[in-house]
Amino acid sequence: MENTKRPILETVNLNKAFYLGEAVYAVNNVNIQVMPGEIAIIVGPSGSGKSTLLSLLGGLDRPISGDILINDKSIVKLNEDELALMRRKNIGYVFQFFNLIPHLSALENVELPMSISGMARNEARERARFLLDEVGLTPRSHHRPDQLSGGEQQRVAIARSLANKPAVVLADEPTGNLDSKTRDMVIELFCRFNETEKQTFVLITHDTSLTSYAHRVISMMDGKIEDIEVRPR
Amino acid sequence: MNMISFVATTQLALKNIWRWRWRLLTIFILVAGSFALFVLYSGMLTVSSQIGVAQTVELNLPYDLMVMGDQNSPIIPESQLPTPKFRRPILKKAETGSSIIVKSETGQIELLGIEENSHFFKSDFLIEGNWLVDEDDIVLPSQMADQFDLSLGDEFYVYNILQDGVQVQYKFIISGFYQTDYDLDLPLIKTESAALIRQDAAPNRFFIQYNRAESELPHLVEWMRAAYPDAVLIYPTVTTDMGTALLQQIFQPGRWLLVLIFMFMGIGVLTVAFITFLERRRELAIMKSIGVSNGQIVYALGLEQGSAGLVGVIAGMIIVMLLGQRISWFSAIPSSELAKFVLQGSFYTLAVMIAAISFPTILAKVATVNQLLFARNIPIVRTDIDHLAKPTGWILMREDKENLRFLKFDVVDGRIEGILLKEVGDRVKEGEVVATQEMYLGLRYHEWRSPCDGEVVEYNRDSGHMAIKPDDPEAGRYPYPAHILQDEIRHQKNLEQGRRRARLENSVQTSK
Repeated sequence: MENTKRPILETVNLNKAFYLGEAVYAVNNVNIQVMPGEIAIIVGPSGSGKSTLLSLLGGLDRPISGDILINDKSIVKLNEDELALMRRKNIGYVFQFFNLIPHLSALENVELPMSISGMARNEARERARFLLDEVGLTPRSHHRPDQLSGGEQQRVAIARSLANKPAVVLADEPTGNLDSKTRDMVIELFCRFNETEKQTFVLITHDTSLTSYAHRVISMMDGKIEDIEVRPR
Repeated sequence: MNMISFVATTQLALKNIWRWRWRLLTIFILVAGSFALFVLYSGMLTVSSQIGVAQTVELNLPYDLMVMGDQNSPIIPESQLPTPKFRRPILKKAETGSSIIVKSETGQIELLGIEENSHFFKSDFLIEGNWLVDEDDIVLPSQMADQFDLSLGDEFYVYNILQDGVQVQYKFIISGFYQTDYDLDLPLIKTESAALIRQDAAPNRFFIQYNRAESELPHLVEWMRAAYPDAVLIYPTVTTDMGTALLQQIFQPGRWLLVLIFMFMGIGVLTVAFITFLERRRELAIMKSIGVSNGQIVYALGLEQGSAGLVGVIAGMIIVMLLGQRISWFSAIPSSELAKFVLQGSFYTLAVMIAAISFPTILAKVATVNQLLFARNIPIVRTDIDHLAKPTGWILMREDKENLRFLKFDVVDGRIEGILLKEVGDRVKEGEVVATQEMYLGLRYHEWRSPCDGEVVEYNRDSGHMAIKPDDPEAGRYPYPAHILQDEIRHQKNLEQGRRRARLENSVQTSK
């Protein structure tokens, strides 16, 4: 059955280079596939190109060559406006440093992606409350980001990424700045949404212990894919 | 953007207005202050100018317009003077070339110089005496003789004021009287005498008696100024016009001050807007990352800064009204002028606000999320290049003969001013980036892309030319102008012929 599914996320010969005195390929000819409902974890040491790859997958940056397909649709030729609309529908992004809008409350931060995509206010607020409840932040829903701890902010960011029920959630070192207890809580969240809502996740981490939660482990080194391990669910 | 997302974006913008209130307050103060200063200062200039002009007095002249040509030049016969092609009735007296206004003992009169034996009333209307025979003969209308009790043989003096102001007297002897039913009551003298008087008078000068509505005088002056660009024009309102021109010169620096007001306001508003943009890069990146469209970002930024500008203009108007009640000259500003200044001020403010809103929004629109998030350069202009911008014949000949595709990068001292991503031997795909370059502080970005699938076979570090061998011989061929290649082929043929000729001549000389 698995083989008949089309990948929800796919890259074809993807390249990204930066100029650091000379051309440095942060992503070098990368070909990966992520199937629907999977938790894919990209691991590798610092500077191996994980974050760059995730940025490219989310349309936050542009490759110099290659293709990125989300639900079989290429995103590399889209302009910034089309990319924003694509992200609205298909991508939830969790940044390493949370990146919540500082003057909005937790509830408003989670509500915002739904409001700007045209969801009715009551419906958006109800789902935002539901998501905050899921991440255990109902009592803190009216606090602004600067009134929340790092772990709480990260959970708000996760709730926000799930707001529009995206095809795939991309998370850049979601546990990188968290203590072990909060880290476990966050990982548990991902697993829960994966199980209950069949949500696809692509996570980046340099913490190899998290790979035990993954259905697919992609190892990177110097911008290249070193290994892809697919695990039975 | 549907109604819900519109409302959501508006709410977000309103929250941002509160968050950035101090910045927006700065814009508000700049706009309100500049607007009020502009309107009040413009009004002050207008009132001052009006007061100045009101001090001038119109000249009381015996003519409507005097055109004074170059006094030092030879006299230009009146028949040769340039004349505007219209208004013949107005210019009648100037054109006849025989009519002179001089003073006489009767007061100011107009003499008509006529040709002996040619005037139509010579014999028909002469009622007493003789027609013009000598240079000093004068024939008067009979009613003038009656009025001043003149007789044949009496001396009749006319006076002319020369260009240096000296009054000259001309003596005439009354040789006859005439009467006519026509409306003609001019003293008649010989043409030569008339020319003499005219010559004595200021040269290249003539008068225009103007028989039309006074409101047309400015048009006449305008026309005559165009017809006689070097001449001095004297007319009753010349003092007012000169006064206005003088006041304009005096107030010109003041008008530059008006420009400066808006320039400083523009610089201030743009600086605040740009600094705010730099501080909000992360926020904009977050918004883009969660799917906020460019239209929503433009609307939100426009609403935030536009509202500061709009409120600023309204506050400026209120300031003008409040100060106007305390300023004595304010009420002297004509309401039409005041309305004009308000409109002008609003227009300039609008222009500044559009610039202030456009610059950050354009940057926000074209930037990727990571460019905003990591404060990277944001290229406003992106150019994809897959052919030569200025192909030379030699390169096109190589493209043609060796079936290559060339790209040319900007190189300095053998180094490309950007990133060279491919080297000789690398495979490339059609559209794949082979080099990039940022220019003008990163505002412009070039990407050189391969025109075909193939292999990089050559790279000249000195010229920056990269040659790609296409897999398909017909792939990626760019339609360069045909004449470049043809010219090169012709040039090469000529070169080859020259070489042959040189070799031949060399061999002949050797054999000798």
